Amino acid sequence: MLLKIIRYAKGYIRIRITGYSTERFLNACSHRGIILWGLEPKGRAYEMNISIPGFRKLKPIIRKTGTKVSIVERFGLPFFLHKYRKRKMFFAGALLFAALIFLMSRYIWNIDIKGNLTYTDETLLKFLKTREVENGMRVSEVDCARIVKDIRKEYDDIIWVSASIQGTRLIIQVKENEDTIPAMDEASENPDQEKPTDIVADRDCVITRIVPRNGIPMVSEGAEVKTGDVLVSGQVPVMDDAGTVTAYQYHESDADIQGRTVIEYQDEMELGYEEKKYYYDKKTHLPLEKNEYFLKIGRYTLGFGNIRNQYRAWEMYGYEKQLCIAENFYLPISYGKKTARPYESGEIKYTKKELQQRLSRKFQQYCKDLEKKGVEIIENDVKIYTGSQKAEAKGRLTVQMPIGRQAESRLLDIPATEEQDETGE
Amino acid sequence: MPVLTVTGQMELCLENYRGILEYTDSLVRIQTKTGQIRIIGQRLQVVYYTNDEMKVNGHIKSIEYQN
Repeated sequence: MLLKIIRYAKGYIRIRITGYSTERFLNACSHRGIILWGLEPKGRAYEMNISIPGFRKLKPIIRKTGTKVSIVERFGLPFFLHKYRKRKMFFAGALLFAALIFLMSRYIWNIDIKGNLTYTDETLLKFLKTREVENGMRVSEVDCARIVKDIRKEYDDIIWVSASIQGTRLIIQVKENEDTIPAMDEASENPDQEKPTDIVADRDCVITRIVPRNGIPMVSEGAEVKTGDVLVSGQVPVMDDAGTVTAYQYHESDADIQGRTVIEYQDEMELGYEEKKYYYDKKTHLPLEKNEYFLKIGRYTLGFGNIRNQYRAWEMYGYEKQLCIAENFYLPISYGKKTARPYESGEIKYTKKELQQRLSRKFQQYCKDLEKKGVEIIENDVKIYTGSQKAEAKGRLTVQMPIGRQAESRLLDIPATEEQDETGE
Repeated sequence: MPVLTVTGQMELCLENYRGILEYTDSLVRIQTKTGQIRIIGQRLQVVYYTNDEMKVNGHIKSIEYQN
């Protein structure tokens, strides 16, 4: 293969030898070190390949042996170039190609960021842009050491950065501190000083069950509570022998609380809906459409076709794609397609049965969702009303559901100081 | 002394020869220091031919020595 390429690049000639002593010609060639290959007898003549310098040395041999040499065919690059020497644009193209390769390879075409977990590529690229490192900059202007320093300075939890240039790619490898993420979670779970939290009622209800796990229950079963009332306190009093409170232990309160409450339910819907009727082509039975293709280069747009039409109502949809080299080098060139589809709108009314079905299906779904949240429905008196404008499902649900949300406690004063004052008097 | 390297029935490499005496696609006659070598076969082709080595491809039937 390599030999073939070398022969092609150097060029060779296929010649035909005729005459009385053709064998003598061959021997003379080999004696003078002229390489012959692809030797083939053709009747009384021979055909063979010979290199260009070999062919130039043939003259004395031909005279000596009395043979005749004719050229059958020329092969290789030198002949190819000679044949097309008048095609100036071809050579200009080849030259331009080489020049472009040379020029283009002096710019960064792609920035590749590897190893980032919490920072996205976009974040880092945006930051690099502020430091004048971006796609399309000169390779000679890239200062890898400075990029590394800048990234390390800007992001504390990136603990290792490497920047290198491979051809026209700038490769930035980072290593993030993987310990920081869970460490922060732990910090939020266990703050230095534990703060007490209460469970407060998140709606008006009657408590039916209360099982505290942590903290002091402030209400008993059967109590009526209002929104915001403290149900379980996270401040556990510490008493002395006399039964007076000397201090509070702080806890995050935790309890299972069930309460009975009333939920208002209301849902309404329109009596009719708009339906789009598309126009169809009579022959093909496909929806009538108008397409527009466009090509955007910078601020200029080149369009093919037009979506303008005479219909009163039509919907338009389309897409636009930006050309991108590699992963993140976007060129200011985009293309896309717009489609307009005319339609005629008409209002369609639901029947009474349909309205009822739709509303009750929605209500059932609502009930199912409640049950998933652990809500038990005790009673419901939701009814469906159909008016002249809209249909409504309205009513009240009596339910038993989990009550309470966590809230930070207001710290209670320790009454011990007061008592001391009293004794002091 | 000529050196012949034959690969199967298809390929023959020949070194240390004086020259070709005759070459058709069924017979190649080669002159060496010690005598002639006749290669008889079908579709014989000289792949390359230089001052110190030549290669013959084709269906080789016999190789004869004549001194």
